[in-house]
Amino acid sequence: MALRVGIGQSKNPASFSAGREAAKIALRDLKSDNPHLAIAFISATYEPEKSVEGIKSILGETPLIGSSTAGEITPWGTTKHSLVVALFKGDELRFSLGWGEGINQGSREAGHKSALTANRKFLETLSPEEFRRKVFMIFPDGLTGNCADVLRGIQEILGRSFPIVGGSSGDDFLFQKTFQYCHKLILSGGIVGVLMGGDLSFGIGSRHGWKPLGKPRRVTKAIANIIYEIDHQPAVSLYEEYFGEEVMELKTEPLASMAILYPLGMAISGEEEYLLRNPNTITEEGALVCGAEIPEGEEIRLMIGNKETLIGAASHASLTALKNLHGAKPRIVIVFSSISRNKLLGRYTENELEAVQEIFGEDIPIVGFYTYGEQAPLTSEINIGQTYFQNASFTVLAIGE
Amino acid sequence: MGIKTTILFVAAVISIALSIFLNQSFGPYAGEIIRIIILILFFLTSVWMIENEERKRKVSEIAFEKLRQAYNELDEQAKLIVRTDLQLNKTQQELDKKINGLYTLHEMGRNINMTFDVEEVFNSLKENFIQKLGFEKFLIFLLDENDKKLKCRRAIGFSEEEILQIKEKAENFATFKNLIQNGKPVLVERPETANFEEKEIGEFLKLRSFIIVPIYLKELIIGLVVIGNESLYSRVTEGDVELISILANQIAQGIENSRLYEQLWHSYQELELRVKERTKELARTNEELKRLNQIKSEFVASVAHELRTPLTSIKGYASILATGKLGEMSPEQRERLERIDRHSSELAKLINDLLDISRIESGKIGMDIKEIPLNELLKNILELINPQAEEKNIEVSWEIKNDIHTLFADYDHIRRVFINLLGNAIKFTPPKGKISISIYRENGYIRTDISDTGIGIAPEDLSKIFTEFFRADNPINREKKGTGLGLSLCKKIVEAHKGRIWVDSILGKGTTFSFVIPEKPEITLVR
Repeated sequence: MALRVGIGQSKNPASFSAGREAAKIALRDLKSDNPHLAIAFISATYEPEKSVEGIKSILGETPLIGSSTAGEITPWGTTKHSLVVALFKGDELRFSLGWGEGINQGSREAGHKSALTANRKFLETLSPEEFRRKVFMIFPDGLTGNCADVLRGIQEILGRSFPIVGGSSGDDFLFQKTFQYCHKLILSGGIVGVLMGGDLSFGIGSRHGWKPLGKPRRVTKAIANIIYEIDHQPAVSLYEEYFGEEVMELKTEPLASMAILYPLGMAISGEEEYLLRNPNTITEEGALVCGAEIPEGEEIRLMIGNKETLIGAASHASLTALKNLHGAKPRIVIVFSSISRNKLLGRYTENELEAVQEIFGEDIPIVGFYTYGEQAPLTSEINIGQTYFQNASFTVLAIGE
Repeated sequence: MGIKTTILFVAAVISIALSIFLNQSFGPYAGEIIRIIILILFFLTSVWMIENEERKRKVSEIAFEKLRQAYNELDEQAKLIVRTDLQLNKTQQELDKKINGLYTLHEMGRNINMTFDVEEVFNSLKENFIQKLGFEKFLIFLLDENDKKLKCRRAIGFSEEEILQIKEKAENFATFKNLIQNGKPVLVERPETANFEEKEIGEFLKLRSFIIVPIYLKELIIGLVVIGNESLYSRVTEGDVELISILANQIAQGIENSRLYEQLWHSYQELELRVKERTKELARTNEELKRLNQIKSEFVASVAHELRTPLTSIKGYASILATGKLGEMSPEQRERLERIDRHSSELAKLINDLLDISRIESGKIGMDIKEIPLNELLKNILELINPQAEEKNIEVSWEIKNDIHTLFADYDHIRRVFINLLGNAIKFTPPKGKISISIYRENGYIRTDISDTGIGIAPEDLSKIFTEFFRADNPINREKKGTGLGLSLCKKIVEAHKGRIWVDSILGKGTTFSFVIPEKPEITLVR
């Protein structure tokens, strides 16, 4: 077995202890020492510095990459307020880490830099002939900037069809500040990524399960990730119109908390599903702030989903990821599930993970988090497809050998 | 260019071409007429075509309008669907929360009731429970019994530094004070609805929506519970107030239980302490009594000893006088001398018995326990007793059961027990009565029963019979003298053998004295 994985989780309320405990348990689960990569999903309730110190106190100089979350996913179920560490070890595997800061000032540049640093490191320190680059896994900030631009920046370095997959950092539904972790670096409003290569197979699957409803609307004014007007009306009036009386009553409640149940969708030619955008926040002027752009002139639809379509999508995404492994044996499944799903599914959230287990088997290690956005090719049946910034999706990265 | 226009254009070209051709063939007039006819025809055709076109346009406009209407209707339907769906989602969220809440409350209640320690009650409120209830942060304050100040007893979802701050400043918030006074729960669904004081607390605790409910214990507010969320995406709702009130009740119940238990435990402890003190006191008294008894025994022993010497002299001189060597005695003098001799003998016996009792009691003489042939002992005793029995025509029978041959006892002393008991039996049994001795094994002891068909002992005297100097009031006792020490001495001897003596009697029918001594002497372990 060339690829080993180990997963650990801690719910200790003290940040340092939580990091330490989760790392210890992961190391024990790995049944080996000196792992080659550590991925950490750290609830936004933890203090970033102390958490990292805790993890490092056990793992030392093991390359560490991670993200803050709005909920964690483990083989033992979905939780909140925990710290999860996943360890990878394999002599034929190669990992190089990259990062870029300041997404809100220059989204494309940040993406560009993250891919550049990771790529350069991969090419310089590892033998590219022997170890091919396979997939770039990223954790960008989900609150600031235009993540579609971040992806463009990455694609400038790695190419438009290079597989990119990931999840945007969360902060426990506060929508205030998220963190990205790379080595000892703690970023907020940045992007971190790990370029994986060598002797590994991977399969990506992504699907959301939301369906269009009502008549198409047109975005008449938008700048980057902010939609100002739809059909020449303040963008928020779309939701007000559909929610009707109900929303008036709840005027002071953040509309976004309901709006994330009904994302906006754009049709992409040749794709089965729409590309979705969640309005994370709504400005006082009624503009919708999304994780990534909806270009001016774009035709959009209001989307609706239910438990069946969402769980069905999770199954579909898992199956696609498994198919994309092309017969390789899956060793670990990394899941990026949207907070909209968490919100809509409520106490049925666990059913998504059961769907993964149904496809990959009960014993498959699962790790992941609830995201403010996912990066994956749209419903593609092949790994090599253009990666989009998505919302409300269930994105699966299966790694095997 | 449309088809119709093309047709018109082609028709015009053809008609012009035709008119030129007709001009050439039929001359200008005929040509002119034909041309006019063609023009008229052309005009009529054009009018017809335009009208037709207009009609078609109208039809399609109506169709388009209808379509647009249907389209808008569909969108309206979509709105209805969204609203229903929204309502459904909200209802489901509420329901989820309620189900979760009730289930979690039940679980928490069970945990709370599992302990009798107040601290454990608080510790049993774990973070995962609070999360399951749908909250991030949780605080319990209790009023201190001494200074009546709010003390934070449990904090979940706060950092250690925050907890320190909370402990320091909690006392100052007006909302807390008001709630302690009026007991009205506080519900802040969102920061905008909070009053100034509530806002202050919200900002201090980093809670954007929260609930504060009082903890009631027997109509008295003993503290309060604060619970809430920072994220507005999971707000507290009115339904939560009820839920948290139930939780506060459970906590109060837990506290009450622990307090009751503590009280119970304290009173138990106190009781135990008192019992211990009393026991100590008793032990002390007992020691004192023992000491006094010892002194008494020693006193009796020394007095008896001091008495014995002059008594021996008295008896000696009396017997010398009786011999008449010192001069003849008148019968009166002789009678007085005999009385002196008899009384001296009785006195000597009394002194001897007293001396023995006190010696045995004080342990001055130990029992010289040896294996005694039982038959031999009985024969010896009966030889002594039989003459007296025969005198009263009393039949004495004896029986040794269980193949017992020997007895572990002090020969002289056990003999005295037998003689005393048998002597009593003969004394209190009327002539022609029966006395039976029965010896048998019982639970590791040898038991001896000496039964008679005598006058019996009154029930009220049974308990006093072994007391020193006690003499039952009956005609025989009134007639015959006795020391009242015989049974007491028997008791001391049997007890010195680590045995026990008791009596059963029916007044007028007879009495049975029973005593047991161990079958085998105690084995002393050599260390």
